[in-house]
Amino acid sequence: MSKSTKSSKNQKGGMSRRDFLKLGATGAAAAVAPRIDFPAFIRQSPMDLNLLTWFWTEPGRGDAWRAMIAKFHEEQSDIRINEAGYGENDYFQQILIQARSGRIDGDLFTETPDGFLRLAAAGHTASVEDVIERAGVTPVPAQDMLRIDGDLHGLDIVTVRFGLVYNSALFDTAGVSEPTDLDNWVEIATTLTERPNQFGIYSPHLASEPFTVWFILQQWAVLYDGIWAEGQNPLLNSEPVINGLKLFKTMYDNAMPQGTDVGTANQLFASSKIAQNMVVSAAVNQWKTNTEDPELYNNLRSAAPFWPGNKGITRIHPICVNANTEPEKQEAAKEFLSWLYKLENYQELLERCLDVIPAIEGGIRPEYRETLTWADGYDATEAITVPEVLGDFVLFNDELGQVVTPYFEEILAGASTVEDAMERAQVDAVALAERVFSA
Amino acid sequence: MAVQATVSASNAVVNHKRRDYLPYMLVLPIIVYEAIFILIPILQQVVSSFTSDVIGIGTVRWVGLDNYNRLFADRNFWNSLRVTLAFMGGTVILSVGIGLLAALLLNQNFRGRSVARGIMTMPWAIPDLPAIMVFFWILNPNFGVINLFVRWILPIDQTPRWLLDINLALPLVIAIAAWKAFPFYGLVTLSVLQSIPHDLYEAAKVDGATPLQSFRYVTLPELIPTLMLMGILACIFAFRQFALIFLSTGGGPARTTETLVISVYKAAFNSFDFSYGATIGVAGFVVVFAITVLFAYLQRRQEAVASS
Repeated sequence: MSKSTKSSKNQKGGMSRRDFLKLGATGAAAAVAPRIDFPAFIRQSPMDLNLLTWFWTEPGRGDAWRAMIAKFHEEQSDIRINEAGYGENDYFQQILIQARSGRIDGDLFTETPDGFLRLAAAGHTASVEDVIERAGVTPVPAQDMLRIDGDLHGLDIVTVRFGLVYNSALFDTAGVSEPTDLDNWVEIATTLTERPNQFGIYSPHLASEPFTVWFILQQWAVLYDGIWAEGQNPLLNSEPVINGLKLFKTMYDNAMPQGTDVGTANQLFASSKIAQNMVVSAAVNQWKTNTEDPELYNNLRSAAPFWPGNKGITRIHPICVNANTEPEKQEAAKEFLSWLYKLENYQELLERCLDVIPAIEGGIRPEYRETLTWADGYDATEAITVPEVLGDFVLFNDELGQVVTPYFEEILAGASTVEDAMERAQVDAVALAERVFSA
Repeated sequence: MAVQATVSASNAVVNHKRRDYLPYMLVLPIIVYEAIFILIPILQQVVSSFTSDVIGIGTVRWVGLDNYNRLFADRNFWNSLRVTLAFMGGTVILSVGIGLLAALLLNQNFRGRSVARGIMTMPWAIPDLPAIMVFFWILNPNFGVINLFVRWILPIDQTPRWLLDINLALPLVIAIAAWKAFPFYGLVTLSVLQSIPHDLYEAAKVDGATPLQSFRYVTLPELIPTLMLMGILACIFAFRQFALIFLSTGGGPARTTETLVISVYKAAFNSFDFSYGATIGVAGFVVVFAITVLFAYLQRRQEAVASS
């Protein structure tokens, strides 16, 4: 067959086997090429870093981070930060499962204090000690809990503290003021309740939201100056824990929208149907950005501590560099963190996120702090860390929660007394301790 | 001629051999698929149940029967087993029973029968998540519409806490699951009812059978093989039910709706104890297998009785 015949055949629209193979090979190369991480000097293109966090889905905080990353991208072109992660409810499970499968699927990731300790112990976090030097800042002493063998293995990117947020307009309407003690608090919450139109307080309690329930329930024992475990010994049947759960049950019976999930409760709070919320300081941001009531944010206040010990669980959430990502990506990740931790950038992030507890010396500008009319109670509350509240169970926080929450549900359902339920929970917790600490 | 016969015989042998391999070649892809995505994970799960694999606690190590010893001593496991059997029993009886009644009703001639059949399929056609959210709100102790109805009907001020009530949660979850599943069983039953020859009913009528006797001696014998099959299916579907329970109650309150599947999830993904989750999963597999064998035995016995 002559060339002209071949050519005429191709012109008719048919594809030869060789052309087909060429096309296939080109397609395969195009599919594979973006997945190969060549060094920057070969790539001639920005280094892509995946930042795993739940912040992206958090009202207010997600936008704040996007704004900061846009600024970072404007200032340089060598590193690009990509959004990755899951919603808050799935995030911690997914990260642990990724860790179990060998490697966390992100170059940078944020974590809870307990999650951090677990992942750091398993070797998933790289030292970021040099970031502090490059940024030229001084971390607050609380960040020492992020040190492994003296080196920081994570940088606190948001510290939150538990406190009682309330809607001062509803307080004024009901003619009540900030609680003076726990009994007075119960009276106030009851006064503020007019079912089903208004509720005195909300705290998560559904079995379908076990992580959130346990996360906030921990604070209820701290209201009686209690802790949940000391070292490897669980203290589930101790007096402060029992008193904390009794107080919860009283509030649940008198003043809570029973059977309401967290998302709905947030909407109810945003529409001034719930008067008080025992939450971390970071939650306030969602009521600034996610409400139809323009006055709500201005009406928010946090109560000065009125409970014994005046303590609020303070949770440091670090951002970490994945120790198992490629060395050049680790370096790029540290470059990004050095930029983020520079005083002016850190202050901007803190303010955009509406945070109140700085992680570095001078991290909060006084003029910004003055604008936070809702933050005085949080500031007046004394910090107690998660390891202090959970002892060695800090490494098995969720497991301990799995022990506590079913008994807690029994209590709420009125199926057993607090004392009886927590006695049995204590037995289970001791068994858990034997299993996890002896391994 | 002889040569031609030999050649064609030899071709026949070759073709026969080809035909012998062909079916295996055809089913090979699905066998490979099943082996990779079903058999190997099952075997991995069984192997995992003999190890200790808890995130954050050392490395994976062989522990022999430790997980099974823990399982048999774990009162939460026995509770989950009881809940699973109650959920399966309740869902199967309600969904197949209501499905049968609906099919009998829709097998009658009446105006609007097609519309009624369409409406009946709706619960089954609605995706799980919106259906569960609707029930979650209907049954909300504060805002649920059910509270209004109950207060109209009963002389009470305080309505139950519905899904938060230890005594009501499981029956309510069973009711929701049955509501969701019955159209499927109803449609299958209806198709069988429509295949029963009308002559049989006419013969029964000539013999003086009442409608109840027609049902007992004509309809039911024709339905039984299908009902048995649906029973097995309903058991397996009920055993596997996760989304409905997880989203409506999360296994609570106080583990009263915690089936084995929910237990597996909680052990593996809330307590991060994969080995123990696998152990509960193996126990669940044994339960389903035993139920399937029981149904198969009953079905075979039924067939033997019918043929004799």
